[in-house]
Amino acid sequence: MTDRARHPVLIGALCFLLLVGVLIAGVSFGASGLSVGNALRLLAVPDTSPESALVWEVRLPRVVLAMLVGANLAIAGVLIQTLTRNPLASPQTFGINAGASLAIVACLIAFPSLKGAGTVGPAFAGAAAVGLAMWALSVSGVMNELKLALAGVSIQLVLSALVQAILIANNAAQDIVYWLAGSLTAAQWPKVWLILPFTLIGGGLALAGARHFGVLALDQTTGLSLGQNARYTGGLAAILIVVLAGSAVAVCGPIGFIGLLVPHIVRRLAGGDLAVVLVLSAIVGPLLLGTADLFGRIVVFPAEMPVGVVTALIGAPAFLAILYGRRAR
Amino acid sequence: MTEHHPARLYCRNLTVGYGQTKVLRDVDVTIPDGRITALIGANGSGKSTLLRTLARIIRPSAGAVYLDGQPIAALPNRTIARTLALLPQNPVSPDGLTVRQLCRFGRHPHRNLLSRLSGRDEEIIEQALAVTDLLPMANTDLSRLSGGQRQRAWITMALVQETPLLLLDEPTTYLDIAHQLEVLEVLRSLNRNQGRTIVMVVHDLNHAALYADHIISLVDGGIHAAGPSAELLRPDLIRTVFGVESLVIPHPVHGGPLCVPLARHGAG
Amino acid sequence: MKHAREHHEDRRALVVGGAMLLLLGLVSLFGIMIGAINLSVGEVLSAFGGGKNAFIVMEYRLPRVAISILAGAAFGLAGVFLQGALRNPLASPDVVGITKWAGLGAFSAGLMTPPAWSAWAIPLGVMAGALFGALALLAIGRRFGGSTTALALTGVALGMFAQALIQYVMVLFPSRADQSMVWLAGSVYGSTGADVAALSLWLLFCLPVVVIAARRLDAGGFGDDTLTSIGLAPSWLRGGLIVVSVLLTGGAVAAVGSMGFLGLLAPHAARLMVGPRSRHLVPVSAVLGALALSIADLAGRVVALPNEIPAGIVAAVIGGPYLVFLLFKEKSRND
Repeated sequence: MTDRARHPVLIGALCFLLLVGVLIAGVSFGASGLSVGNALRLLAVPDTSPESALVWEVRLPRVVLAMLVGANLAIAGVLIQTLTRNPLASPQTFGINAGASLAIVACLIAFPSLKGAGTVGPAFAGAAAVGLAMWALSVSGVMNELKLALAGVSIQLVLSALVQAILIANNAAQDIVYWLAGSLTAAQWPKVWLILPFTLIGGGLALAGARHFGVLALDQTTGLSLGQNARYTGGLAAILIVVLAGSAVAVCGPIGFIGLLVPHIVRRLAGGDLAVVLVLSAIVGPLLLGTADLFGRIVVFPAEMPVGVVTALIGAPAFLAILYGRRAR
Repeated sequence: MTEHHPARLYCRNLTVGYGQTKVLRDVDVTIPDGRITALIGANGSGKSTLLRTLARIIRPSAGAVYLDGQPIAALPNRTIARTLALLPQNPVSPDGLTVRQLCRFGRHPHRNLLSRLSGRDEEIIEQALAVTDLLPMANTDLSRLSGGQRQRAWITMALVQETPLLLLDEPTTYLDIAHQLEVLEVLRSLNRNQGRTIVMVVHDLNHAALYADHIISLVDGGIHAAGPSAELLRPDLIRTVFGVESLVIPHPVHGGPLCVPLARHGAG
Repeated sequence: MKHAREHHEDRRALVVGGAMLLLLGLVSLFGIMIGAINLSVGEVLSAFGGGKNAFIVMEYRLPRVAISILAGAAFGLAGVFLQGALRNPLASPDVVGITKWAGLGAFSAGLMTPPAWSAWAIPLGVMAGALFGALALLAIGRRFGGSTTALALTGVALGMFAQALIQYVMVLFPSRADQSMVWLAGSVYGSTGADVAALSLWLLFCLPVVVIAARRLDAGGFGDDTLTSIGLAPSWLRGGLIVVSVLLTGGAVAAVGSMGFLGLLAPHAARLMVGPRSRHLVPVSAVLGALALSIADLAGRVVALPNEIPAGIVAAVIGGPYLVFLLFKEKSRND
């Protein structure tokens, strides 16, 4: 572990290069394919051609959105795993994503005029409600980490079922179904602008507070003896989780497994130091979701696979691997 | 039949374990018929593994266990179950079973796939409950019994199986001294009054001295010694098997050997 | 020879079972009465005799009610056998993802074969899927150690994988999206008399093994050592119980899709009502499974009129909290 931990900068740089590669590939690939050179030229010097519009209005916002959402979910995943000391925790497996979607869907049905930024409020409220419930379960000590994960998954199933029920009851299925599977298809710049401040502020605060959050990973008494007010830092971490996950759900629906997976990948690559894990997650998260989206666009071309399905196909086996690794410890 | 075979249950060249790790190495054991045999040895010496292999729970990697002259692996499960019963160390039972319901499962090897319990089956259960002194508790939930009573209930289930051979893996662990004696007394009466052959893994040497006719001691997965307990239980055996210096004196009441441990070998 | 206590338990099981059957009858009657056109009891009775509402009752509502009862009972039984086989209170075919694999099997079999073959291709696909799900669960779950929760989580993850695969196939063949939604969520909508006949035949075919499995179920609670000692081969016993569970799950999924949580809910509720002995537990689980699916269907039909919420979604909304409750209750046991 220690010799791996020596090269976080190298790993970060490598992942960043890959990220740029995915960005270029994401901009180039599509129904009317562009050569990488062309895509780069249009990125650098936009003109009035339809290709330029395609790159700047369709593909670029999509890729950027995927990366912002990926960063949000990955950072939220790191925080929630640290806060609950549970390697199986994530915004998805603890039902936080589903809570946000239920709140959004309920509000969309109740107030059909609600659009864009208006969905962020309900998303936060839903995420916070479920997060609070899971946090209460977690600290009550009634359940071990496995049970907690199972409880979270059940809550997620129930909330998703409620979402479906609401949609069917209101004949609203068609419009929202695709969003529900977690999709980046309808990505546009307004969505990017919507999530960007949350990513910047939330991610920035998480990185700035990394040193303090690290103490949360210790048990509570040790934290206290180190002079840490666990309640205060824990509260801040919880707010960050809600903001990061909630805003991600608000722009592209509940996308699973990124928040679960990325922290594990990063810890494997670079060891356990929380600050390093947070920084690298902010790169690997976008990389993973960007790649998944690209994959979803390529694999059934010319049709398109919702990115949530791709992440589930990668994520479910990975979840098993994490479960296995937990046993080995 | 018996003139060809040393006993109803014996094993030859028994090796158990996978790859490099061998729990038992080339073990020959003969269980004397109609006696109480105690398997003794330090933790990890392989005594429990030997018992479980004799009861065909564990498959040996080499050698064989013979039951009534036949390799046990070649016999049908049900046939074995009519000859040999095993009481595991920590038996797990279905939820909410009464003592009597537990005992009914002991009749399984004597029944057909769909036949119901006959009056004779119930009679056998009744008699067995009387032997183990559990009749008053027959309709009590297992979970409500004391440790000693529960162990007796499991012994009753094995009795109901009507097997001439009874194998028990540490039947007295987790019991206090009174309950330990309670269980051992039941086993002795089964041996003396019904002529059942009993093999048990025991930790307490004085229990072995007091209740077993025959002792088999194991060291590091091999047989160290086998013979009558009165002859075998001596300070040098206790030193090699357990690494403990001890004094063996005549038991003030029964006259058999009584082991008094003194110190760990080499410690003083 | 029975003893006073056992007589008492038999009586209690009989009373509880009878009451639940009565309730099931009542719910079924409501199921026939309620719909786009509400019928009175008298009208329903006359419809059975060929009255003016005969078409609605015989062609739409009765098959639907009947399939709810049959499939619900099958899910309840499948749950009780799997839980018994694995000695794991969380291991019902729906929690551990077997129903999702069955759905995937049905869906892909339906897609890969010509429509004319579907009568036998889909049941075959369902069984293959369910069997694969069960085998994968056992193969992977065994490596994760004995914890009941770990096995359940393994199953949940496998189920998510199967679900993602269904969605994947759904994107490849968008024309079959409606069908795939049924395999995903579970619904008794549009059941026909032919569906009822097929499921009845299947369950009849399964009946002998169900009876044998029920007689062996109690023994599943023993440890493997004890089972061997009394002459029962543990692998055959547990394997047999799992196969019976898979057969039942497959039949039910083929009829109504991967309905969630019924297999978890029914055996647990039954255990609370009549205790853990299989002679009581098995029949009452079947009745409660039927009752749960019938209620879920009825609730889904009336709660959002004029729209219908699939029974599988209602079942998930009821069943999920129940699972969380169970996790609370099963505090310290084998984790």
